[in-house]
Amino acid sequence: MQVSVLRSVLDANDLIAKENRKEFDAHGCFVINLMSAPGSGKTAILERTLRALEGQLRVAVIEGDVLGTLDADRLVPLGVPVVQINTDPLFGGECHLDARMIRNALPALPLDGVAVVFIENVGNLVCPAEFSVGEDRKVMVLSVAEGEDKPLKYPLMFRVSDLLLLNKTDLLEHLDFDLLQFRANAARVNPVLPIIEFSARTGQGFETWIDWLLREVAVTATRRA
Amino acid sequence: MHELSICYGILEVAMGALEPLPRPLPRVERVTMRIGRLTAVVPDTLSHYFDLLTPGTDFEGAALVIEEVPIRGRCDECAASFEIETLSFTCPRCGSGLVELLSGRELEVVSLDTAEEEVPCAS
Repeated sequence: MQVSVLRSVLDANDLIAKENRKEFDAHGCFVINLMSAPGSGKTAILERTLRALEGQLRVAVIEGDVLGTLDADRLVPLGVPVVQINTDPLFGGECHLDARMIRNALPALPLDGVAVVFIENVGNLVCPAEFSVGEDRKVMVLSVAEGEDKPLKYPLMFRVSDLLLLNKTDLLEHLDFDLLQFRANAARVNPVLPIIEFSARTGQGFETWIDWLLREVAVTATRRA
Repeated sequence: MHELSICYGILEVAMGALEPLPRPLPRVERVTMRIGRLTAVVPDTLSHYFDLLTPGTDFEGAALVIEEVPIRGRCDECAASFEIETLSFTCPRCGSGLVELLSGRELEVVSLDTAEEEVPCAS
């Protein structure tokens, strides 16, 4: 006998992601799912971004790591609410955040009056691309030290992202990274992906990133109204 | 790398599909899935976890059959639809980059095949 099923394995996750999204919407929060390989500079970008937004927009952060609170510890001095999710003890060392983990973290995160929530995903170019967590936008970071071939190796991440911050451009003079080839590779997988050449260290591209962010916050607020 | 959690997801969906069936449950011989080529899932790893997780469940001894789904897109500008074989998401007809994904991200449990009723051996 054949039993017809025809159900996506990700349905359960997507359902919770939608609930998360409703919760964020109810509080008027714009949510970014920030993804990259380990060491691409997500936390450094957040540090600089939080400083820039201080006094302008209220921000909260959900930090995802397999283990430890190193990233959260870096952000706490910046005076924003931070919740750390460790995927190790509770979730079997998962290599990504999923919607259920975010839902479990939400009670610990005060959302009233918060305009932007950054969710820093577990460092990984593969798995986080597959799981929605209830975000408005997916932003990926790639550092130039990772090489120009990455769009062709991790196409899904480049395909699902709404913005790419090409980080550590201050290192370009020391590397063989071929910027034109990189842009061609990225355009092949996602021809409409905006790319900001960026350095969390020197601030290159930072204004463009903040402009993009503020514009998206405004667009989302208008859509909700 | 996330094949383990995907595999839990498969079992969850498959167990849900068994729920309405009359008891005793027939033996499940096959769980058939469709996996899109754009998903970041390694079929071999998935099968490996499936074999590790199923002993002691209703799916013990069942085979995980995986059908790969090609990546297909449709151009938003000229409405051409085409297979994307070389990861190039540009319309081959008009060159537009506004391509909607038609398939390639499937992670679906399609069906379960159960054994025919077993006839007890006479001898």
